[in-house]
Parts: sequence; structure tokens; C-alpha cells
Amino acid sequence: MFDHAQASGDGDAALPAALRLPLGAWLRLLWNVAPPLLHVAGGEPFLAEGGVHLPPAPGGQDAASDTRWYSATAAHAAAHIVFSRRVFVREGTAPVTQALLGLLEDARVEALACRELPGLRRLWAPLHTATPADGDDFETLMLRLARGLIDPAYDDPHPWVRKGRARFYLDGGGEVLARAQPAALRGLASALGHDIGQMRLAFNARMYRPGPSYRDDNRWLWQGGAGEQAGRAQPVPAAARLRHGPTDATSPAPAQWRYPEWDRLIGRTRPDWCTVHERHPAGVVSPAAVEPGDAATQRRLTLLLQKAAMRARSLRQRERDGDEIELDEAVRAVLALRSGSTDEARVHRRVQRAPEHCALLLLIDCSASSARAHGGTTQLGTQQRAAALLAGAAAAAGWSLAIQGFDSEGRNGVNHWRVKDFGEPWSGTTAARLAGLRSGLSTRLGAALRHATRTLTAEPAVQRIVLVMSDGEPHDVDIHDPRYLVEDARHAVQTARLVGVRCLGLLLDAQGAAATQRIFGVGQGVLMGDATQLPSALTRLLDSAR
Amino acid sequence: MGPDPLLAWRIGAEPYYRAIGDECAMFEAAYAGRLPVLLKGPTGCGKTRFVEHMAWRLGRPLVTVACNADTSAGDLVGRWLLDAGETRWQDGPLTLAARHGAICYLDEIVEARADTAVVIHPLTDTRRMLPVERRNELVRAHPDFALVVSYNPGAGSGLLKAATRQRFCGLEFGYPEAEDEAAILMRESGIGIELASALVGLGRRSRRLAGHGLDEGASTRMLVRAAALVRAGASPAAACRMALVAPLTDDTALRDALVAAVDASF
Repeated sequence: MFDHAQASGDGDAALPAALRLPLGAWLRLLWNVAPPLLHVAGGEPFLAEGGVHLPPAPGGQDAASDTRWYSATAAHAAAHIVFSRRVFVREGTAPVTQALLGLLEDARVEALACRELPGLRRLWAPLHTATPADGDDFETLMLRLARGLIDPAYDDPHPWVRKGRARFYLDGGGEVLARAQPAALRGLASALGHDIGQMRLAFNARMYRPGPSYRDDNRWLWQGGAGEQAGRAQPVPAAARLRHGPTDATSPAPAQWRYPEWDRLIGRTRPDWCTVHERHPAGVVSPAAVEPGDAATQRRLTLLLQKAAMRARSLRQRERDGDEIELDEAVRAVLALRSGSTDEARVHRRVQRAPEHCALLLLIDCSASSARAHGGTTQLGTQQRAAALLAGAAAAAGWSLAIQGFDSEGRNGVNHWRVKDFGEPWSGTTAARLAGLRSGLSTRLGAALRHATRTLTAEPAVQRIVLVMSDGEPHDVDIHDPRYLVEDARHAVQTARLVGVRCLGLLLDAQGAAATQRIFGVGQGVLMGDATQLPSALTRLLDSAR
Repeated sequence: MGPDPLLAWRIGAEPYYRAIGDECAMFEAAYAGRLPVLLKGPTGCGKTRFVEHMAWRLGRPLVTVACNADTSAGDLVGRWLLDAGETRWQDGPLTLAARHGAICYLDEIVEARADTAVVIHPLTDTRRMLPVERRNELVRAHPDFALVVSYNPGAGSGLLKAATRQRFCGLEFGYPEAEDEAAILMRESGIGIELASALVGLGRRSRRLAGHGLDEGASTRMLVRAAALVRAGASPAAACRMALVAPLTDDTALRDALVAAVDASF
């Protein structure tokens, strides 16, 4: 089903796009979940807060079977996300019972999944290959029981396997679960574990791993998180290893620029007054997210961006069909007709519109005030959601988009957090950077606008727009005059206009309305209640400056 | 009187439509007052079928215009054509319907160019008239004339101007509930309930990819087509690949995922 991508590199990273895209769509189709899909260099698949971690397929076979393995693995992990409730506690549970609980829970989520999507059984069952011929040791019996619970055609002679199956399903056909809730599996797990003890079978908790290979290691099921399992050393999940907060993870010496600042008291700009530092925020993989309603919002955004780009007009003449008759052409055509010509009359004219290339730089206010509650989340949360929506829409509408967060700590400490550059595709990396933005420090808006303007003018485009989301009131630690930074930002907006860059404001707090209007101009700043209002707010903004 | 200018637009047999709520009664009430009606809903959810059904019920001809990005006011109102030695006026579909008393249905009105919205304004208020500027004529709408427009809110509700929107009464359409959608599939194609449910489940799954690679998921119309293919002897999986997967996307990743979901569904 999927193009097989070669595994490369060490540790966790986003899965190669050739796998990530089809698997991501596959999981949405199955259960509308979108966990991050990550690559691990080796070992077994596992599910953690950071997402579904997939090692390279066991391989040795053709690409098609690797593909089936990936589909099966992702579907199994997603079934856990959807159906497993994470109610199990390791403390006081014997290791063998832990292993059996994991196996029974695997079978339970797969049975629930197959009830909804019967074809999944054809995906999973063939990956179970254990037979009585493989032996009667503990691990093989576990594999045989696992097979007995997913494959109705498999009839295992071993009484322990038969017992497990008989007490797992109410019916012989393997359709009706005896224990619909995960907690109810515990009794069966300890009974089967007890039998293992009676059979004097050796169980090595350190070496045991659930099989077959497509099943994750079940660390997800246990309360107390993703880190440990049965005393075994685990690779640290990706999310835990990343540093939180916008700290510079890549380059030790960030690029910096100096900008003037407008001093309203002396009525002049102070040259080279502010320093802007560019950094990449450290990425954070956000947990599985389902965004109801976002699809429609994004679609609306795409369409309004497409419409806004349709500003180039061209008049097409000598058309077969059109709005108006072109008088000169009509006279010529009538003359031609009367003189017996059979040429086709192309006498209409028609105005056509064509898209212009548009570039938009989105500025996210990461100052301390962005931690304030807003529309069910924080102001920063609203901005992050809006940015993600805009990123998808801009890509679909053919706009160039860059996303930067900004904050400041005095005039020489203005930070620009580069989430997404122009020309960089929207990907897991950029999404992780967006999620990695944190609230803190102040808002020196003027310097941020000047830097955004410079970035934008380097981008080839006909329309250039800086869109600033903020609470509307700039402030910084070294400024005590409330009007100073407002007037400076206003100056920055007007200077940007001179070089063909439109600055527009999305206001997150009605209290900042007066300052926003002063900075951006009448109609150039619009209040946005939450991210779903982005399309209507943006429509008003883009229409305002026509 | 000459031949019926609306003959081609009359509807002979009853188009099947399964009412979801009181939309038929509400549409009749709107038509009784000749109020213009706006139908909102995603593509393939039954808007056009509903209008056909209502036109048939009301015994009115239905002039349908599928609007696209090139549809201009001239396309709706009419234009001068060049004949041997002279110009000749040809009514556009809107003028035709207004002059002779049909229901005019502008499908996907937001797709059309901005000037079309303005042209319909005088027809949608108490004036009920259509100024045909190019011919210097004022067409007063026939008493039977009514205007119905549709658009897809997934395609940007902010894009229909308030000045236009507020002239209409609105009926909102969505994909039918699973049960209704299955009943529609069974009625339209004669398949059994089990297959209908599986197809509907798959359709609903595909709608989750709207905005995540797909513009929209599988419509009811597509599901009906898949059902028809099964009825004609195809296997359900093959029918879905042909009727759903192939038309929905050209993207290999999405196609692969959809094919896998089709396989998982049956």
C-alpha cells in the first residue's frame, strides 16, 4: 500500500513523509485520530505521549508486506488510543499478570476495532504465525493465545490457549467479548497467570515482549506514564528528550539585526536603537489531537486567500464569447460578413482576473500577557491554532507564508522565534516549533514590525502582508511612557507601507482596541474571539485596504 | 403564443428525494410568498435533487445554472449576438426564467464572479424585476418566477456578501444521518442494508480527511454510485475504489490510505 521508505538516522525523528502521510491519513480514516508518527532506529514499536514510534519494518520480504506491517502496526497503536483506557497499575500486579493483561488488552482493542471494520482482521491475523509446532514454552504459548484470539480459523489444541479463548469470548465465533471493559480483564489475566505458574513455565520479565512484531510494547496501558516497563531499560521517548520552552536548540550565536526606533517626544527616529535576535524555538511534539471543525475553517481560509490573491485584472479582447461586444471588432465582423467572409466573429471582450503572488508573515505575540485565558485556551493557544490553520490554508491557496513568534526584554533583547520560513513546507518540524513557543517577556512591537518588514521585502511577491496577532498593547521593561511604543509601532507600520508592505492586526483582547487602531489605522485591526473566527476577521482585514 | 420557451426545463417524472426534516414544507411556504431561498450544504448532499423535487412538486419548470469562476452577469442575463448583418438579443437563463415564470436555480453561486450577485438583487426584493442594461429593458418577473441559489459553506461562507445573503431565506443541508443515508442508498440502488451501512460508514470516515488532504469527503452522491456499481456486479471494495477513491484524490499517499480503509471496511 505505501511506498517503502528506507529508515535512516538515529533516535526519534518524524517518520519519512512517504510513510507519515499515508499512515496519518489511514489513522484519520479509521478513528479520526492524529497522533504524531515518529521514527525510531530499531527495537519494537511503542506508543507514548509523544506519539506512535515506529521502527523499520522487520523486513526480509517485499515492500508490499512491509507496507502491510506498517499499516497493521499503526492501526493497532491507534486502536489503543481509541479503546484503551489506561486503567492498569503495575504496583501489586505480578509480572506474568502484567504480560497477560497486555495480551488480553491487545486482543480486546483489536476485537472492538474489527467489529467496526471487519477488514482489519485480514490485516492483523496473517501476521500471527505461531503454531503448536513452535513449542510449548511461555513465550510461544503467549503467541499462540494471541493468535487464537484474533484468528477465528486457528484452532489450538493446548488446553491453556483454549481456556483463554473460551473465557475471552462469549461465543465460539469470536464475535462477542466476554469482558467489554479493560478492568474486567484482570481476573482472567491472573487466572491464566496462575496456570502458567502451575505448569512450571519459566517467565523472564526482563526479556519478554508482546508479539507479533506489529504490536507495541504496551507501555501505554499502564498508569504512571510511558517511561518504564517491567524493570527494563527503555529508549527515552522523543517528547521527553526535547527541551521545553523557546530556547535556542540549534545555533549558539543567533543572527541579529539592528533597527531604529521612533521617539515621539523628540519627534525623530533613534538610529540603530533596537537589536533583534533570530532563533528557532525548540520543538515540542504535541500529543494526539483531533480538531473538530478545523477542516471547515481551514477551507474557508483557503478560499478567502485565493480570492484575495485574485486581483490582477486583464482585459481579453477578440473572444468568441464574453461580457460585451467590442464595437470596432463588431463593425469589422459585419463588414466581413457582408463581403461574404465566413470567418468566425470574435467580437466580444471579457475581463479576466488572475492571481497575484502573495506573501504573508504572521507574527505571534509570545509576551507574558499571551498566557492570559482566551476563548477556552490562552491567547498564545489561540494564536498557535490560528497559525496552524493559516499554514494549511496558505499552502493550499498558493501563498508564501512565514510564521515568527516575538517577545522582548529591553531594546537590545527583541527575539524573533522562527517557526516557519518562507519556502519552508509546513511539516512536523514546523508544527513542533509552533507548539514549542512559550509565553514570557514583553512586546516591543515596533522593532518586531520592522524586522518582519525586512524579512518580507526579501520575498518575491506582488502583495506583501504582515499579520500581527497580539493583545494590542505594546510594552517593554525599559519603557514607562504608555504612548511611546504605540507611536513607535505606528511609525513602523507607516514606514512599512512606503515599501509596499501592509501591516494588519488581529486583536485578541478588546481592551487593546484603541491602541490597535492607533498603530494599524482604522479598519486595519480586527478583534478575534477565537481561532474559528480567523476567516471572518481576515476577510474584513483583507477587504479593508482595497 | 409560440412554442413553450420553457419546455426543455420542465420536469417529467418525480425526482426521488428523502426529506430529512420539514424542508419540503418550508420550501413550499417560501415559494407561496415567492421568497428567494438559499440552500447551504456540502457538495453532493442533495441540494440540487431537492430543488428538482420541489420544482416537480410545485409543477414549475426549473432553469438550472451551474455557476463557475467564469460565470458573469452577462452569462445569466443575456447578450447580444452577431447574426447575418445584424445583432440579435439572446436571453440568458435568469432572464428566461424571470420572463416566462420558472424557478431559477443558481448552483454554487459563490463560485460566480462578483457582478452576478448584484444582478440578482432587484429580483430578490419586492421590486421583482430584472434590469437588462445592455438591451435597455426592464423585465418584470413573471408571477410564478422564484429564485433559488445554493452554495457550499465549506467553501467559505464569508465570501457571500451580507448584502446578498440577507435577501434570502435559508435552508441548511448536511450529509444525511447515517440511517437516512443508508436508506437513500438502498432506495437509489436497491442494495441491502448491510452493504448500505458499510458504505455509509466508509463515506463518513472519508469525511474526516476533509481539510487534511481532501477538500471534502465522499458525498452521498458518490456513495449512491458505489452502491450502483455493486448492484451491477462489482465487489464492494472494487466499487468503492472506482466510485470513491479515484474521484476523491490524485495524491498517492491519500489514495493508498483510502484504499486501505476500503479494504478494512468490508
